[in-house]
Amino acid sequence: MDPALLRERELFQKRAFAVPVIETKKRKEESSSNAPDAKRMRPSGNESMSSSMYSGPRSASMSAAASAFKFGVLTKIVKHLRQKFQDGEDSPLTMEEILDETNQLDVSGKTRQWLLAEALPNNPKIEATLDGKFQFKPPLRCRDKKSLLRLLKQHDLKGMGGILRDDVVESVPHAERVLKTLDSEIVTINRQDKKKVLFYNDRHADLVVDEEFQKLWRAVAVDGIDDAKIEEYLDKQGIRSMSDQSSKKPVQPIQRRKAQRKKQIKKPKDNEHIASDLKIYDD
Amino acid sequence: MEEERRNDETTSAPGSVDGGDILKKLARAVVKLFYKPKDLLILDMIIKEERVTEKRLEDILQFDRPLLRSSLSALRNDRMITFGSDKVSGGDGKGVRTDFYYIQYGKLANVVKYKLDNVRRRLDTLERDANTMNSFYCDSCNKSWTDLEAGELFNIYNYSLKCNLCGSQVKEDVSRALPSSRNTVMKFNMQASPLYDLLEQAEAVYPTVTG
Repeated sequence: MDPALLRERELFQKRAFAVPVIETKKRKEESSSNAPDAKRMRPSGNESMSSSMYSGPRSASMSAAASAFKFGVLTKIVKHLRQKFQDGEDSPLTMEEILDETNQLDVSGKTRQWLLAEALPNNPKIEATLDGKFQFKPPLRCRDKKSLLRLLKQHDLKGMGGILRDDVVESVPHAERVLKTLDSEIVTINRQDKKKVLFYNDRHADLVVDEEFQKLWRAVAVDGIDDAKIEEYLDKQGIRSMSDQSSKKPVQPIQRRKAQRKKQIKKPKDNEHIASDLKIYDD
Repeated sequence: MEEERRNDETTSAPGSVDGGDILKKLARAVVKLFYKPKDLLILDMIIKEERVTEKRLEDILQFDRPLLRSSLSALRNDRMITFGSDKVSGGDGKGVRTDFYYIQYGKLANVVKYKLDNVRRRLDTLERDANTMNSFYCDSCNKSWTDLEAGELFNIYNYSLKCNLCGSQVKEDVSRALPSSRNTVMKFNMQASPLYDLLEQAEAVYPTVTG
């Protein structure tokens, strides 16, 4: 080998080592076959693996699936209790009875624990009784036709507004039948999202006019006419107009200027102005 | 905090024609007769709260916004309700504007009188047109007569209507004859009588401006 080339190589290496370089070491992924110390959790039943033993996106999706399963169980329970309530069977049930009726007896102990301690007591649609049983909790406190009508009247009197029809259907057993019998005493307003709002129909003063009169009323437009012109029209027709005092500008009192007194020019009287020129020739 | 009010649209000042029971009844009666049920529900809420924002109406009545706004627009155009706004200046000097709806009962009463008078006039015009319409005609000479003129053609000996030109039988054209509009005017007066009564009671209680 050429000694000059070897000398150049040595010089290059010296220069290279003189420059500080930071190296990042890549973490080696532990494969299941190469890591004898890694433990596995075997899946039990339909539940997925515990998230504590695994890291990365795989465990996150598994925990999401576990959570979705638990809430699926809860949803079935709530739907079942609501259906029983709407059918008129509103007696409270234990959790075992509920799981039995919904064919979910195969849920794990952990899920049962979660339901008993957290999910069912905290659910706004479930009411827990003192003896540890559960029943459906309706959104409205009315169970029959009479109490529903009373609730609607109360809302009307106190200005509390309307009640959603969905809430009534959830709260009153055989709600469709009840609403049909109360058809004449309820006003239903249809929203654009297809939901309906119910109000009490106060028939105390049942006033009705024909459709043709309503059309004639609507045909008389007042939005382009100001209040003064309306009052003027009424006055011309000999109809008294009722005026809102606040709309009138306060009438300012007319400030009368002090009458300028004209300077009175004293006219000469009895020739007093030339009295000095008067000469008396008596003698 | 200073409170400024716009001059053109203000709430009823003290001492003005405010919403007494009679005027509130009048407002409810008018909207019940001539508007939709949802309009009456909105008006009821404004009467109870006196001054109410659109958001508050939306929350209480649980109407969706397009439904609410269409009713508010219709009532506002007819002066059944009035739109107002308050500007309140905060500590940082920036003004916060609050829009609300309320009722000016005096203006409402005037509009009701105006509209009722116009409707009555329209019905009178229709009645006049019906009376002047030629609903009797002669087949032979094609001459026609109104209901009033037809009386002159009546023959007391034959109890028939004879044409005074050619002597032929005069017939009535049922298709052209309008339904009796006198009944229509009477019906309107009957159906609107609660409004007239309330207006009369209101005039007795509240100050009016005579022409």
